[in-house]
Amino acid sequence: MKKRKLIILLFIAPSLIILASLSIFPTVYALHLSFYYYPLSKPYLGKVFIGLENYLTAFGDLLFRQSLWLTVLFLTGALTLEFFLGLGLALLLNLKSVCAKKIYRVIFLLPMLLAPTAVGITSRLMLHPDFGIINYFLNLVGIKSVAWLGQPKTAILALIITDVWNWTPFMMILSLAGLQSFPEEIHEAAKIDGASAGKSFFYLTVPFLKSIFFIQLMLRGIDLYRLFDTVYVLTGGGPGHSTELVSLYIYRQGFNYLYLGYGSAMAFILLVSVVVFVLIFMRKTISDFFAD
Amino acid sequence: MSDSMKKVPKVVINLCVALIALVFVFPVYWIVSMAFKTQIDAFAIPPVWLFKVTFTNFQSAFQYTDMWWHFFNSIVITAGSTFFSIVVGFFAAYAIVRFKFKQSWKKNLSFWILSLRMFPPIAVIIPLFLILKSLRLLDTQVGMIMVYLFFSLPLTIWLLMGYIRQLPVQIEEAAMIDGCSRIGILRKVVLPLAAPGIFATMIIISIFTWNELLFALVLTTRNSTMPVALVGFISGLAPNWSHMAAALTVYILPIIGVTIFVQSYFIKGLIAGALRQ
Repeated sequence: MKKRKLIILLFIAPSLIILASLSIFPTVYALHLSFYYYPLSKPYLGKVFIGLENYLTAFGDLLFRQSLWLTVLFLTGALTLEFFLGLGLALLLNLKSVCAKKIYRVIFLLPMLLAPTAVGITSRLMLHPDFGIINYFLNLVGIKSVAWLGQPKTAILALIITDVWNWTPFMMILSLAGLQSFPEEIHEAAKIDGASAGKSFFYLTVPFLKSIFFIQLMLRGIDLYRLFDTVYVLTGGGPGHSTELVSLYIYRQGFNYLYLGYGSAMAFILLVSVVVFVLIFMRKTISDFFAD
Repeated sequence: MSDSMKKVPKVVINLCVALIALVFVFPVYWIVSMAFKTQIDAFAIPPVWLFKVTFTNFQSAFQYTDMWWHFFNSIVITAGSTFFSIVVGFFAAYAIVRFKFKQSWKKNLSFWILSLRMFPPIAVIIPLFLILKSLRLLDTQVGMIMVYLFFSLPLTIWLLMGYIRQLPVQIEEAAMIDGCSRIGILRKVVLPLAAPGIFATMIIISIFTWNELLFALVLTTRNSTMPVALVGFISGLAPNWSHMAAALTVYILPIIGVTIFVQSYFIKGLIAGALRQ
């Protein structure tokens, strides 16, 4: 069966080579860089080996820790909102009495497909304190204009709202797919047995959808953790550093200040945190999935 | 559940949904309409809902700048990386699904591909920057196409694995019995059957590549893709928002078109990809 093995190799080899050179090699290189002091802004210095100093600096860096904290905060807020809004929308759209479902599919799908860059710019425009449409609507109902992107607290809120608008459709589609795969007969049987809509939802639908919920939260959670585009465009770190999420902070250190070694160290810390998280929470799911 | 909802009149429910849909679509309407408004109309308070359509913003945004070059770059880079991604990824996906090899290998490989999906791009951007720099591929279309394979390949293999898995093996086995070679099977049996899946994957990958910012931001300057150009637009001292709205509209136009025409493919692909997990 040597020919067989050759064919398999041939089929997979290109992908493996490409992926390895784009992921393994750069990651190792990043690890290597993280042990050096490498300020590209001072090219005459070249690379200076400093061992674990970058990592020590990172752990002591208040802004880095703050960026991690902000990221977790942002992640929690956005994920919760997106999840529940998505589920609510899915439940709503699943009702039989809704007409023109095809049109709604397009409308609700659109925000998710738009570039975060476009979404961020649009948000920035709409949130302008004087000319923004959001403040105009707020004024109409009697609320004073808010300087959304000028204050730390409202800036992070604006970021969350922007991302919620951008990605709730994603959660909605998955929830809806789950809901639609739930056999209607079970609901009807429950109704015959006298269960209310609420009870049948919580005791029947929810357990069934548990795996889909898990996937939604996992996928979106990881994406939120490494979010860059939206925050870069919307606030660029916000007033001061109040919306500087971790990816943005690493970007600034690495490419604005050109501390390539330091940036690599922090990026590596970030990478490890993701890998650890995935290993802990996904181990069982993945081995289940791939046992075919 | 829908039965107890009968108590709530159909009208109310539809009104609710319509309202929510309106909120969701409003920002898109807003920025697109801004592109067609004169600058006075665009920033008028209270906002102008009925306005005279003008194309001057588009002219200013494209004719006297190099925005069209960035648009072109986006197209080339997206098309290129999507194409290579599918071509290379299809074989890998097929091999992983169809060929029997050691279970542990398969699991590890698939786990690795999955974890790449979770990779924070920022972790590789610094090394990639230095690598491309030494290869003299910074700020080139070729370099960007290569680099975008980092995103698109894992996702491509993932999605295609899901699709190929759904295809009945019996057809391929029958073809093999009839004496068809592996390549022949691929060409005549698998490819046509998997075509919708490949199409859906192509759409999904293209969209994500089209929308990407970080890699393009770091690895290109003058030959950048459109998102970078748009960001550059607003970073200036006094950005012309109307012109930018026009550029943005052109940028999201393909996406809107895709949404309208291929949404069913996209949704199916998304669900298949996620639910496979």
